[in-house]
Amino acid sequence: MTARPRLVIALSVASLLAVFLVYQLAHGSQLIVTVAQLRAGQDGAASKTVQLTGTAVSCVGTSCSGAQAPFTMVLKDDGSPQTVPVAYDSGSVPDAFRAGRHVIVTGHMVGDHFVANPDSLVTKCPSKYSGGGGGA
Amino acid sequence: MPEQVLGRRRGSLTLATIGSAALLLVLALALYATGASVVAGLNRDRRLMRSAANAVMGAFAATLLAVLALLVSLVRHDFSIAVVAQHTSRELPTPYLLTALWASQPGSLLLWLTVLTGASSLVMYQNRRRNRELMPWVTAVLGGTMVFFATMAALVSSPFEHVSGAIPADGTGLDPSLQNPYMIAHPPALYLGYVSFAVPFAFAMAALITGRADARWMASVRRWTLFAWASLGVGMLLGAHWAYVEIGWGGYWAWDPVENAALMPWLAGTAYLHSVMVQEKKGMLKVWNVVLVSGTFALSILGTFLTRSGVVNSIHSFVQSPVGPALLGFLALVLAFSTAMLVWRLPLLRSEHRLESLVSREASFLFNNLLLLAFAFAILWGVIFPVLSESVRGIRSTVSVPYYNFFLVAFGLPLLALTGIGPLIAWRRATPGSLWRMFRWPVVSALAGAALLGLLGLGSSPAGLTAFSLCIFVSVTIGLEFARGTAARRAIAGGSWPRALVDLVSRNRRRYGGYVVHLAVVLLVVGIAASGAYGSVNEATLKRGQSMEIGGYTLTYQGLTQSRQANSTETAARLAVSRDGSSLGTLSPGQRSYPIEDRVTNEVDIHTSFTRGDDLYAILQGVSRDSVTIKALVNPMVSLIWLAGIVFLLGAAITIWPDPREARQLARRYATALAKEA
Amino acid sequence: MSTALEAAAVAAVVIAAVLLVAWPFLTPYRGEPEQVLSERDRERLRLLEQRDTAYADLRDLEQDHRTNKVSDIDYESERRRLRAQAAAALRALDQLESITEVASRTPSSED
Repeated sequence: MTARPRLVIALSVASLLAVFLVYQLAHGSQLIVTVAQLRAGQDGAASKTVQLTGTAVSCVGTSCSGAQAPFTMVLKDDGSPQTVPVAYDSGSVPDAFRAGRHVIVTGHMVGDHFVANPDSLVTKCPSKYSGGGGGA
Repeated sequence: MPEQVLGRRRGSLTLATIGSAALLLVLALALYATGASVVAGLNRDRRLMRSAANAVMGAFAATLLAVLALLVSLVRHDFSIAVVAQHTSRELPTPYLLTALWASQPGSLLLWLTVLTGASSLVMYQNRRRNRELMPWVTAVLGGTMVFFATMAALVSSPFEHVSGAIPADGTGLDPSLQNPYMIAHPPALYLGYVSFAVPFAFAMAALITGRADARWMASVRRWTLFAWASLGVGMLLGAHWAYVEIGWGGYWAWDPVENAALMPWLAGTAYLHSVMVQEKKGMLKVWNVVLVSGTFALSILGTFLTRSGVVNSIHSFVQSPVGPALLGFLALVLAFSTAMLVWRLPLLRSEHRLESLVSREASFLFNNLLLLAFAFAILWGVIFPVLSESVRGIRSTVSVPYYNFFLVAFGLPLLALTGIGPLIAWRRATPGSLWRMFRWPVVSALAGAALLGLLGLGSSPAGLTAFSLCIFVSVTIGLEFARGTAARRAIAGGSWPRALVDLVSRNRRRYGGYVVHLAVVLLVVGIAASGAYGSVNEATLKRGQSMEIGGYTLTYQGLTQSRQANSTETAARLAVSRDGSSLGTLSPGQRSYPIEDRVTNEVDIHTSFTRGDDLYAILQGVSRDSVTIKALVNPMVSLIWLAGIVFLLGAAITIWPDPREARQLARRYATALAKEA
Repeated sequence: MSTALEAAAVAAVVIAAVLLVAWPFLTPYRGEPEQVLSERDRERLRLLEQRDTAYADLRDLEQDHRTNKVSDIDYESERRRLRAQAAAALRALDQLESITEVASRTPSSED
């Protein structure tokens, strides 16, 4: 390859990577925390929008199976007895959602409650090939 | 009763035992095939090679036996087998009994093995009289892959494992989201894609090992890559359609890690299909092509790993199991082996020519490759970011949908532009004159189109407007190519226009099949851009008789209905749909209750209007005593995405369709080369 | 259904597999003898490929020229280059044949 095309290709590759890095730096990323990490405020989790993971142990005032927003669920940490109430005020609820299921929900802490973003509830069905997503 | 139980246990033991024995046999045959083909390659032993090829085909037959054993167990409700008990029930309709084969982790591994042994057997058959020098090594690589997956299926995660404890009277049923016709086609199509990438990889390694690669080798690799790539593409679209109609959030792609796991090898495969043309024409990019073929296969294995390891949060992934680390080990082996082979044979892969101009078809293919790989890398980064961040910082971080959409636009729009530029630009070097001649009409059309669309109000999304303009550009270039080509053909051979068109496509299958695939890409982009940038959504709680508005449609709640299916009951809300006063029928979004699986699923209802080109999509969010909560969306042009799948398949078929002329020429060349020696 | 039936079924399958694998050794070999490509064969194959590639490229060039992708000047120069490539391949093939002929006529192979 002659020098000039080689230079242009190198510059193209560099610009592609630059686009990528600029985006990463500008938009950052979202933390994924467990209940324990949220409670401990690890990495500032208590004051940011984060993805919270845990097991839904119960729903307040309603059965978890077939629950419709708005409702509040209690999320328990997988590795410790810590819990946190999660207010899911609007959005679709995945088909697979019920008590005992592992969930992922995006939102932020308000006082002692975790307030979830609309349509951010995702449920995972263990040991099965599941299509339990509810958010986009 | 005890006798019946015992009798069932004994009967079921027979099938499970035969199935397990069959899998062990597959492993033994795969081991033999691998070892024998290596020895046959080193000693040029024709008989031993035939024996190894027979072993591969025997492995396929044995795998089919295992599959049959499992299918019969599923249909007969043999709940002594764990996967049958965990994924089916007596009430499950028969088609879903059969597809439950791949609903479980062990079952899906068996599917992998079936496709692998099947593809390998086909390769043995196709090459029983060809590529004699390469075949021992092709067989060795395919055999090695078979050994791995047979070990997984036979010893680590067997589909014939018994339930622990007492045999249940009924199974726990199949996940209701999988009880959908698209789930019958989606996994097999996807697996045909993933697994078939092993074949071009094996051929590439064989070429490096023997130091030989001729036109026949290239044709084999290309055809298998096209097949794998087409299957994977169709598999992804089927999955997207399933998500749209079944999961029911109104979208079709969530950038879930497992969706990304299929997209990455597809992008790498697309890059390869373009850069291989540069190698054929100019003898350039040889090293790059080996890297791409190996990388595509490695990404397939990575995809399989991501689905099974539980290492990333995904709604699709299976629970953590020993299969995960094993797959990672196999991936490391594939990468190490291909790197070693490449480094060893680097001197043989010298380029024959140089890139002379940046304004040439070679250069446009090179840029296309860079963009495709950059996009694949961005996706890979996004997928493994949680794992990387946890190992570096001790806390997991993730990227979400906006991250992926950013790169889709940043890399996708230039790629779309190249889709139009590449075909019209000459090899080696394009002059300003030829550029003006070729591109003036497409550019003028695109600008005029952009202005018109802007006036129609589509300027609200700059990315959407740009995408549409580029689609006009690409469509005009494709149209011009067909028109000019047909005119040129007619000038040589005479005849009618349709005749000339058919002749043109028939004589240049790869080129014009490729153009049809590009047309599919245009349809796909229009569908994605329209539904992504110009859709609308509304949510309301309605009492009987009340209405809601969305995108010009009026939905009026008329009441609830109940219905019963084989294994479920459904409660649906009847909505009368109208527009500008005229009735358009009804929508009945509902919730379905599956008592055995203990699940309630959303069953959305969709009204597709071909005249307006949009989907009216209704979800029943909630039911209370006297009202329902409805979420409605208008998704413009979504049907184009599904149409794109059909056009894509057509284009891929045209490119894959063997050209008897080409086959005859290759045969003649080989015969001529040898005949003179006699 | 008994354990004996089970064992028989499994044994039958295994025997079938062993037979399949052993078949090429049990039957007289009917295929052509292993065609080992000599260096000359390879060279011939390579030159034939070079020739055919040049012809195919000429056809593509023709197509591109007729559809106005390539200017007349570029068409002429590229056509000359490709025809020279084809001619070089044909010349080299001829040379290879004459070397082969001479080699087969040398005294050591005749007497």
